[in-house]
Amino acid sequence: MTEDRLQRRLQRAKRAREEAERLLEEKSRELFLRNQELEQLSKTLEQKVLERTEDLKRARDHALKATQAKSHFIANMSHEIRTPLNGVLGILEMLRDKCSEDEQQQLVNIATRSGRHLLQVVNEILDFSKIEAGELSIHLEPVNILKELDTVMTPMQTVAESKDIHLSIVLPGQFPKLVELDSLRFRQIVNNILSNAIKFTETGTISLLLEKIKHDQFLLRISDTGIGMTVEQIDHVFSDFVQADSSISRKFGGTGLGLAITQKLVILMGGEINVNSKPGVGSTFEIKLPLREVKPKVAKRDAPITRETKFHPRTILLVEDVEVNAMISTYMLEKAGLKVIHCDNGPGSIKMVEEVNPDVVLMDIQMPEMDGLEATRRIRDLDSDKAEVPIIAMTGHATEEHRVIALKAGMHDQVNKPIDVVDLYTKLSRFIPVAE
Amino acid sequence: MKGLVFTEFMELVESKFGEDMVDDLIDETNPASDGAYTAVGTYNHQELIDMVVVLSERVDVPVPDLVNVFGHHLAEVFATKFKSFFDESSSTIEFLKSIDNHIHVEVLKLYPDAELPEFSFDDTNPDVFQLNYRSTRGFADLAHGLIQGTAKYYGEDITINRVDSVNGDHHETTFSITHN
Repeated sequence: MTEDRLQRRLQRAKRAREEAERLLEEKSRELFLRNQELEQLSKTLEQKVLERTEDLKRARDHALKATQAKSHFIANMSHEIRTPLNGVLGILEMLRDKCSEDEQQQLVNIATRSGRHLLQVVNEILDFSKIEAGELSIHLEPVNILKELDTVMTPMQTVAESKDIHLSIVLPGQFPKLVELDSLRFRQIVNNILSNAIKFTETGTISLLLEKIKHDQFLLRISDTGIGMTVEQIDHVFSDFVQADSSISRKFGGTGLGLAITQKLVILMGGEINVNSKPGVGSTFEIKLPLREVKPKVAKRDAPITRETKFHPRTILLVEDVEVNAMISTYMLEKAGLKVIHCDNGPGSIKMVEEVNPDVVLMDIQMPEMDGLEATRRIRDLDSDKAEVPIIAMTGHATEEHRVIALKAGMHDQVNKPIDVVDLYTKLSRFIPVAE
Repeated sequence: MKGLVFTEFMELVESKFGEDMVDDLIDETNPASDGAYTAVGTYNHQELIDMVVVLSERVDVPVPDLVNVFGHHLAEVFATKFKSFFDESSSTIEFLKSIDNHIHVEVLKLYPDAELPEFSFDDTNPDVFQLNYRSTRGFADLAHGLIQGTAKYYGEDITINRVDSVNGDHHETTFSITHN
């Protein structure tokens, strides 16, 4: 091998090495620049994510505030509507007793029904907004379901009969006498479905079936022979604000919230609701609810409270600043054989408790100067046994939240406005004996 | 053409015919790169063709046979250097199917300026797998050797029938592969 060849090989190897180094340098620079670009991009992205997160947070806060404002508005409106309704329904109650002629009685009854319907609409809207805001809770208490069903069905019997509908209840087996249930919400569920059944049935039968299907579950089935629903209508039957079709609301009325609320209540109570229906044949609603049996204690039997209930003559201190409300409440109390002393402000009520020593205080919550809660607290602070006087709140804020506030202030119970006579008498009967 | 093909060719010539043969090929063909090849560079493919032609004359072996042997060698080198591509497939046909839509895609990410041959296939006949080679450079012999080297890697005994044609600037070859 010649020296020359060796030299050239060496040169070639050197050039190849230099070329490789140049290419390596080029690639390194390229990598460095790409890396810088990536870092910049990553920073920009991080910044963007931060900005978006901030935007989303603001949007969420805004939406939350809007929902709260809406719930608050609805609760307030509901209170505002309830207060004058109290006046309307109360006066009608008075009129009913004072009307002598049948025709006038009839007119008063119609006006009362319309007023109650309006009240129901207000209640539905309030319930719906509470459910939507997640503020509606379930309160379990020992309940006699059959009695509850009876309470719901009795007023409907008349309507059913007038439409030639046979309304019946079926008990295929033994059913526990007492179960743990939220009676108010249970009645509301049954009432919603039953009133729909009556609304949409012209003639035929509506039957309620109550059955224990498991050791911890019971079934309530309400079937009617009404106009029924198509498959498409069934799909939307539990949707908010939806009625089977728009002609329904023109013909039958309603907010379209009844069944939506019903379904939400059933779910809140840990149950499920299903519907089967055929147009022209009828509808069947099946509700399955948890069954919690309560061993009945020795039952004390009282006469049922009605509009006609009379009490032993006792003294009621009525604290109410609105004249028309005071007039209605006084009427209701006096009708039941009670003596009423009226006071229209908070501070006065404290003095009256000391001077008159009433058997029960009916205390309005919302009053100028001193509200019913504060007055109650001060009465509880009195340095005598008069501090123990039973106090029942009267309020248009018909929510559980307000009830808890009232109880915390030292009140025993709460009566919602518009005042239902039977409800008022029932709550009074805790403290005042009913005349036999 | 990628430098790796050149450096491997030089390696093969050196191992089979000695270092002097490498010098002779460079002296005789006088390539623009002076034969200072690195695996990461890119060189004119004509330099390789020129060297193969001279080698063929020197050792009295036809060009296609030489290129075919080089294809076998290159398959072995690829299987060592780029083992992951071979591991991803379990057979020759599976590997050949992945050239165009996977391996060459990855190659282009690393070397955006690489000019690669196109491979398409037809596997409708379960007995005969057809691989279509298309390139402006006409290295079908190299592809042939590469396919054989690949089959050797997977331990498969195959027969290859090929049909060559020229379509404008492009050399096109259809390899029909059957298992024995």
